[in-house]
Amino acid sequence: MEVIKTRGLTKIYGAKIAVADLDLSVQRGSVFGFLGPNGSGKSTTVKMLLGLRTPSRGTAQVLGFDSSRESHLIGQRVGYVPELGNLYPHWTVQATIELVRGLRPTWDDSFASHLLSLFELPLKQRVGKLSKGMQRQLALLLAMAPRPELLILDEPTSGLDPIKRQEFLQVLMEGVADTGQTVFFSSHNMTEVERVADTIGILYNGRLVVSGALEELKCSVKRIRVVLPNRDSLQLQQPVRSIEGDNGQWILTVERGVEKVLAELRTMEPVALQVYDLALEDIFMIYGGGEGHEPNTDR
Amino acid sequence: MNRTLIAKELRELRWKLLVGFLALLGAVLLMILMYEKIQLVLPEDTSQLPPFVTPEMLESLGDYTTAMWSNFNDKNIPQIGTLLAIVLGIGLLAPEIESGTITLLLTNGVCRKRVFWIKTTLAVVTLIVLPMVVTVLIGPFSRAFGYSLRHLRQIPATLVASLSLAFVMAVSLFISLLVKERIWSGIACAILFGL
Amino acid sequence: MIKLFYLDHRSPIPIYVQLQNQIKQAIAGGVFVPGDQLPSVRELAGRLAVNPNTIARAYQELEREGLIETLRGRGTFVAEVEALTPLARRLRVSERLDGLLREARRLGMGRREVNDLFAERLSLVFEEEEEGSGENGSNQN
Repeated sequence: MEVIKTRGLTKIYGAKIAVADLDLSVQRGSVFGFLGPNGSGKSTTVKMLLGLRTPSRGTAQVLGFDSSRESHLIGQRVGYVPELGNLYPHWTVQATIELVRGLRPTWDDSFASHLLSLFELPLKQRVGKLSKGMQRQLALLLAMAPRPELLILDEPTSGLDPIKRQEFLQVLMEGVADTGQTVFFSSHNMTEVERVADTIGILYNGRLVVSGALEELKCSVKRIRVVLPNRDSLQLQQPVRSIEGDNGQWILTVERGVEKVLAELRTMEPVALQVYDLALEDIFMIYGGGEGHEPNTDR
Repeated sequence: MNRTLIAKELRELRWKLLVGFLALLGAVLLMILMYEKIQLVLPEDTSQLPPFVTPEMLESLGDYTTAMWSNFNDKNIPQIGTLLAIVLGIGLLAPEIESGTITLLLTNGVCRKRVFWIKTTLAVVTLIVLPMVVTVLIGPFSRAFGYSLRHLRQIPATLVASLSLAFVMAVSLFISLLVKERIWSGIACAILFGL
Repeated sequence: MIKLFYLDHRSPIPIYVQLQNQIKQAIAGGVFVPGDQLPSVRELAGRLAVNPNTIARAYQELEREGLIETLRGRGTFVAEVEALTPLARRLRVSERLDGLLREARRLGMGRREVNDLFAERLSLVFEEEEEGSGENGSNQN
């Protein structure tokens, strides 16, 4: 069952298209890593999902509710950690917790106090006086303590030191194991996404350039290095994403069907033929535009 | 949910309410203390006054009750009350929208309408209750200084004055949502209501 | 016990495969003996900060190979060697063999050379009357 579903979701600010024709699908129980360079439209998408921004076109559904018209029903069932703090700076930690506790009927007191002691948050301290990392931990506590069926986290670990980051991910994964909750989180930390996500989507210039199960992507997207002397151009029957190089040496990026591409290359009697597995970081570079060539879906 | 939201708003309003309350109370105390001196300003020679001014009118003009009520309803509430109404109005929604804290409510299942109505209702109730409480306190305070009020007929007038404060608050709220920046919306309201 | 596992998140090798291999090695090396309880999926997911589905998948693969068994409501345990079905035994050994053979090919060994080496090692190891831990001598890692 789809927990998040968008169709043609678009947001235009003046002349800038922030999000373009987004078709997202997040399955129940999955941990979805929403990737993209800064300014690619991740936060805008998240805000539209929660009904904090009105889409220019298209629709978004979260837990079966329409994001524009039924955002309060979504709010009652989702835990949200925003990219930038939305807590009252003059309030104490305790007062802030009491406020959200009063708004969420499903609040789990024992889980909240477990998180409170784990994060070592000072109850009497004003939120504005907390470090950025602690503010984020408080935001996470507020999002998780109601035990929501869906967590939407916008860059949840930005500003956290490595130890806090690790703690954060541990708590998150325990939560997923305990309740089977769905997690939708945006990030630009590949290592982190690689360890916790099972599904990813990469946003580039407001467009979803790739989406799917992480393991499948890692298995299907490959790099091939081939050396073919006495050839100054390389044309293949099999579809490949890109071919770079010249002078008999080429680097190919293959999205799927690596075996068929290899078979075709073997018929050309290469001097060297190597296949490289890719880490998520490499995949991100390929689709996220970090490699100097524009993705073909763009423009 | 409503209880939590009301508690939250009162928490945010509490300092403004306290200051508003103390300011109104201070004005009343000042009036009580100043009453004797104000008396001196009244002319001794009644013959210079226009003929339609009867001695009864003059007597009631200098009368403590009349002086107190007219001062409270015509000066204190319009001045201090309007200032309070503007401060409440521009601080009600605009800062929360500006700083993004309103999203904490919106993403925890509170709909926009509810936020708006709870905030506005509380501000209106505050602007009515606060002057009324001070009005009621005028009696005991006067007695403490040896004066007594002849009648409480001006209490309905206080209510009317308070209602106009609610209007001022609503307009300030509207302006603050248009202007966004707090200082400018404050200045705009102050000019509009002639402070 | 949990510190025994080290996951390389930058590696292109899927995390569940890394974990699966490390548990296998730990069993082969005698770190876990039959009957030992493995950490729960939740515990491991929490400690390693890894998606629980990934842990569950590694456990599923190991269970399919007959190396571990999950007893409902009690947890996951290292399986008795006798509990391995002939199919599971075949699977387990052939996977390792495949890995070694691929490595041999990468190193440039021909079929005959591999075959000879295999025969040599086979007689050597089986004559030592040891079973199960023979792969420790290889350069698999």
